[in-house]
Amino acid sequence: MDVRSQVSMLFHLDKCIGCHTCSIACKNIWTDRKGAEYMWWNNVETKPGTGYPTKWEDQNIYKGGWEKIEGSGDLELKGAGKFKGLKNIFHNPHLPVMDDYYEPWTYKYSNLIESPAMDDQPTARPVSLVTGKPIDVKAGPNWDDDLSGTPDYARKDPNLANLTPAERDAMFQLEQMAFFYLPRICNHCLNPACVASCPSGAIYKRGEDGVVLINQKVCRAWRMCVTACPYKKTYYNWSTGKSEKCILCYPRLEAGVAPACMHSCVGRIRYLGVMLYDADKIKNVAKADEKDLVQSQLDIILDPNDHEVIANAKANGIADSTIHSAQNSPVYKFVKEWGMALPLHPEFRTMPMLFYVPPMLPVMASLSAVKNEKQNDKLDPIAKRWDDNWLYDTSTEELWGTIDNARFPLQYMANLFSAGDTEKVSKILKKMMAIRMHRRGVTVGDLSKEKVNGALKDANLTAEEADAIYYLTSLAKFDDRFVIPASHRELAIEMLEDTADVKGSTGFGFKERPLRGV
Amino acid sequence: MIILKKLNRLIQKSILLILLISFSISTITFSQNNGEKIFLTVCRACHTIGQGKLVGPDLVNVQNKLTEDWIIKFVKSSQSMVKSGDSSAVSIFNEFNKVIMPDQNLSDTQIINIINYIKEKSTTVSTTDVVVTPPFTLINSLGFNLDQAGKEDVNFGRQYFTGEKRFTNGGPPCLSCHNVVKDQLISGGLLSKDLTNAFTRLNAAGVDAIISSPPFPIMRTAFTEKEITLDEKYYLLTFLKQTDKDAIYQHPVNYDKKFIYSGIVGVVILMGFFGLVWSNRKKVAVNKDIFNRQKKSK
Repeated sequence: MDVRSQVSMLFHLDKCIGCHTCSIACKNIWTDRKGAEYMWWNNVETKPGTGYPTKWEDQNIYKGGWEKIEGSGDLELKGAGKFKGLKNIFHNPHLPVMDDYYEPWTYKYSNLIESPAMDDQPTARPVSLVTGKPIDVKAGPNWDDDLSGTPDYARKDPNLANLTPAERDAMFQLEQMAFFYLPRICNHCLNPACVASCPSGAIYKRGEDGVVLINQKVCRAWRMCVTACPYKKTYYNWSTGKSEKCILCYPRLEAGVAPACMHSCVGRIRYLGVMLYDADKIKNVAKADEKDLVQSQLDIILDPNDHEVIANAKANGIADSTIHSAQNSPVYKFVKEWGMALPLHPEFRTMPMLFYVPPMLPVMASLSAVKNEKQNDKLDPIAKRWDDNWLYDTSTEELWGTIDNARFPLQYMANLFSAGDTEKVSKILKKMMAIRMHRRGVTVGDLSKEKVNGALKDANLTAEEADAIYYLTSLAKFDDRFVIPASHRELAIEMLEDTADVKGSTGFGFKERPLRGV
Repeated sequence: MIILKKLNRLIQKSILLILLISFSISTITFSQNNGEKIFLTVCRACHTIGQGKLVGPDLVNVQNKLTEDWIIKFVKSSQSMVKSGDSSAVSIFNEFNKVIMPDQNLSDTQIINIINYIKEKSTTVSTTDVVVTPPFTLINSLGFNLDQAGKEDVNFGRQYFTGEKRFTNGGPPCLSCHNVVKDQLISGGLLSKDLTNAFTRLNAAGVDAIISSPPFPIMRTAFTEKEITLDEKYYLLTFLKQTDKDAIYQHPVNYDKKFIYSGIVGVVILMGFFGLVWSNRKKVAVNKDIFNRQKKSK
């Protein structure tokens, strides 16, 4: 057992309001630079939708992630690696081009300020941040936000594969349409394709917290990582000639501050915590059959209260504080204890270490036939009469009927979070529904105890668990959501250099002398 | 203004280039004025003093037959004199099979030195004897002469000619500048004379003389300190002799436009192949269709 620790984030999608505050916070801190304007280390997508870069999930286009070779069962990068990389060394057609992202732009505001008096209003024309010339804005990073341009974007969502035409059509019927938001950052995978693809060896997964980083001094702009990452979360900076990616705000983590995206989250949907996992099993889990992929990935996460795990963790140099954080990790609770969260697109086989609680809303989805005649008779003669006779089913008469007929077909959710396994998604949705009924029983009291208990039993929950989930979902304070250990930089530095040598001279941490001299 | 500046810079550059070229040419010319030395390196390939005709006439007592001015002019550019219709120049040219005497990059004083050397040398040769050109013989290190050369020797000669075998002293292979019509060889360089009928034109002695001490400035520099050894010369001569003999039986191929046509067909096939192999490539942005529909400001 090779126990390692991973700082992992969890997104409670039911709480995401799609305000993009996280994206802006990230942009302001990290990517508001020349060459990085188009990058969104954190972005929020509307689902169904094609996302950013457009259709990133379609690996027939971008060739990201791993592929299991038939026969030997070994893994191979779909679009990178030694031979494939060499083949495309001068021209890599799988790379997303700028139009697949979008051409970043600003407006020429000075036109408004400096305009002389004239007959027409001055205008601030859009100006490309790449060429500096006026452009026609063609697309933006969230161009399909809130289902805008549905025929072009949402209907081409790669996750609609395996859905029956009827199911697909139902998703886009007027008055039935629904969508939810999917915030995305780098998944800090356990089997990262970007690390495997880098010809320069510039990308690495940090030992102490599993953050995947690109060494800017080693990066040689091969851009194989851009192809290899199935989430398209490494970006090439055309100005510096280096690739960049989400760093999980590690300088903030080391200072005990939450990542910018999490800190700024309006809906408080994000949770950050430590998880311990068994690195020995990674090879087998990444190669697992598609149907076992999710379960085996969840199984690799270890119980931080288990004595054997703790002993092995200590033997591996994991600090007590890290183990302690793992025991209180909100992410561990959601993912393992309560089984309410799933990774995004596990079928790419990179073993992503961010987890998502799938959205239950909009759950009042299925329609019931009703008779409106009586109601209509009562109306004033000049009032508008509705001829149709349907209504959203808001009743809780039937326990699980609404879940199976949810406006979001279970298959769609399953394509996103469980490699197509609807059972996994429906289990979680049932749990969420049971908790909702339980809390309605407690606070409103219009549901019978019998019914609530039946629901909890069906969902395999106890009332205490339901309350705990409710607490962490709705009432949690910041310190409940953000549980990570103090960083041990001093220990990390000691692993690399002998600190006693520089004690009393320049202090710790200078690898290079500052320009001004010391 | 910018264009003018650019033009100015271009002119400066070209002047510099011209200077450079003329400097490098002048280094080819001789720095010393020693008549004997120049005669031995430059003239002897084709001329003798009192030993009979070679490629060109015997120069014994040439100072009595022709004026100094005439000789200087002729050495500097024989062809321009022939073309201008100078009677003695034309008659010499015709007498010696119309073999062009290469222009020599020598100064007036250098030529006068050579004439003085010839004058001096002529006194030691008895002028009354009728000079009979001795038959030319080349004997290699094994003691064979050209008439005894076999197939093997011709073969070696061919290998030296094409560069298949390197010259011992590192001289460039003949093929890089010369062509011969021979079916088994690819066509050679067109920089200088076609050597197919070199033997008929110059006979063995002439060819031997040119190889031994090339009178042509470029060939001379190419073989400076890279002399061809006796055996190599022997092989080359046998090869050239054989080539000359076989010339009428060869079938020179006229590639002409075949090259260009086969090139075009090859490119089309290759492109078609590439197109097939990479037909599934991502060629345009995913949103191309959408962008094409969008309104554009002009």
